[in-house]
Amino acid sequence: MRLEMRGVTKRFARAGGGTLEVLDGLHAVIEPHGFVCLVGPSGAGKSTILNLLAGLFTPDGGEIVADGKPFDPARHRIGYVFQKPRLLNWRTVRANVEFALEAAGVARERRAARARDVLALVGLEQFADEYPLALSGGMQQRVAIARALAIEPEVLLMDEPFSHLDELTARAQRRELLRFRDTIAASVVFVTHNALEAVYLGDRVCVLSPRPSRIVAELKVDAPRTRPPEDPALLALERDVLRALGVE
Amino acid sequence: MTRLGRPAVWLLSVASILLLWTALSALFPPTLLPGPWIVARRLGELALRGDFWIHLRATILRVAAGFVIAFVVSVGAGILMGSRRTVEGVLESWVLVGLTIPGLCWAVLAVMWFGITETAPVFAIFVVVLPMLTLNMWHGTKSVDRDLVEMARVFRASRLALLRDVVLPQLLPFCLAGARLGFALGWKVVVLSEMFGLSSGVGYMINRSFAAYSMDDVLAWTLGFTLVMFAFEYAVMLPIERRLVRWRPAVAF
Repeated sequence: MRLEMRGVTKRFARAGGGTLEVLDGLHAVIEPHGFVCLVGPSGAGKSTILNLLAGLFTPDGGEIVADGKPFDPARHRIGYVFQKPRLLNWRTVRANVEFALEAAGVARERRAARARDVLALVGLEQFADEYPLALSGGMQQRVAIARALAIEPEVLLMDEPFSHLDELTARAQRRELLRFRDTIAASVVFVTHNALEAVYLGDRVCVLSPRPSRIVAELKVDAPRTRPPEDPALLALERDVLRALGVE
Repeated sequence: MTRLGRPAVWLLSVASILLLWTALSALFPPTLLPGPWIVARRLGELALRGDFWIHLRATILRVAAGFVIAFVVSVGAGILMGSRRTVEGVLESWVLVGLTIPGLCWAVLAVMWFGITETAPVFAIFVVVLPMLTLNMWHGTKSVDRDLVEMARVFRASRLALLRDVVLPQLLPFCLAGARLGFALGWKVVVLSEMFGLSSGVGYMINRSFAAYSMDDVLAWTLGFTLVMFAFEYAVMLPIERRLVRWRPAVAF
């Protein structure tokens, strides 16, 4: 699915009165099967963009278009991986994945097989009957990824999913994400404030300005899929991103 | 709790109550405060008589009926108050007023309105327990993790699934607390009701024992019901609680 944000604005009422302008005429394109990374400073409205695409917010101005038609989030399958796993701790790993499948209207008899497949994809098939709190933070986040993939999303939204993990775990998980990246049909929108993570994972990197946000630079990443994170080409791109962010 | 096992601590706790009671009873004549063994023996004698169980059963059924109705209403009202601003605004003062009216007033009013019927004690328990349980569920709903509700919305969970799989499991600890509170409070009210306007139940028998100035009997009936509450806690509440929190790994503070 090709998603296009055309001049999207979003304001929030401030607690002390007045309004907070978060997005001011944002233009962005998410290509079918593309992997777009949004990089920006804290408070740049990155999560706001994801929440608009998830249908949690509606734009105050501009429009979001999907394959040429106005985008109605309720009519599309949208997977969301949050910063924290947000699992239902009283349900087993398998039942957490099945929760999303049930919500997406997948027939009961197909849920178990689908849950097994995605848990195998993220390497957690032996943990299907465990409760989330028995797993490490990194494994819990893999359950959250499995839950989002289970519903075969058209759009996969990822909000700094590795930012709460230690660097070694995060590194392993980024590599995993690249590994099964081709098996998922979704267009991915990945939000991060980590420039190197963005160029390592994305086909395209959009750099956001501080609030009210717009895209100040867009970079194409041409490196092969199985790239080492320290590839000199990636490091050069990281410098470009940092320069666009105004920190280099 | 680290060196002594749980059963040992429990025994110690019960023993300390009995010890205190024994010590106090030594200071007063047995007509004022008989010791635990005298009361226990009297309870044993009472338990051999058929009407003991009839009165006990009547009281338990009244508490159960009043509690169950109040519990069901409080879950609905508490969830609505915690999630809907307007409902909260409307019911907040009702709950606060309800909390301040003494149980004794309700017990008297119930008998004046409903006479000597089973409705009177059940109604009294219901109105006394309801505000407390509603307050409990209301605060429980306010503490529900918003992030999980948002997650459920993003994945387009139905209202039913949201309530059943996301909200209610987070309210279970509050339901358990409510059940304990409700039973303890219900017992206090039913005794008052039975004293004023009924001819059966533990409260009625305590009142009769009082009229006959039999301290042994007053305490024996009280002890009898206390043992019932103990049995309820250990046979019903704790197993339910253990089952419900089996997903939580054991953590020592």
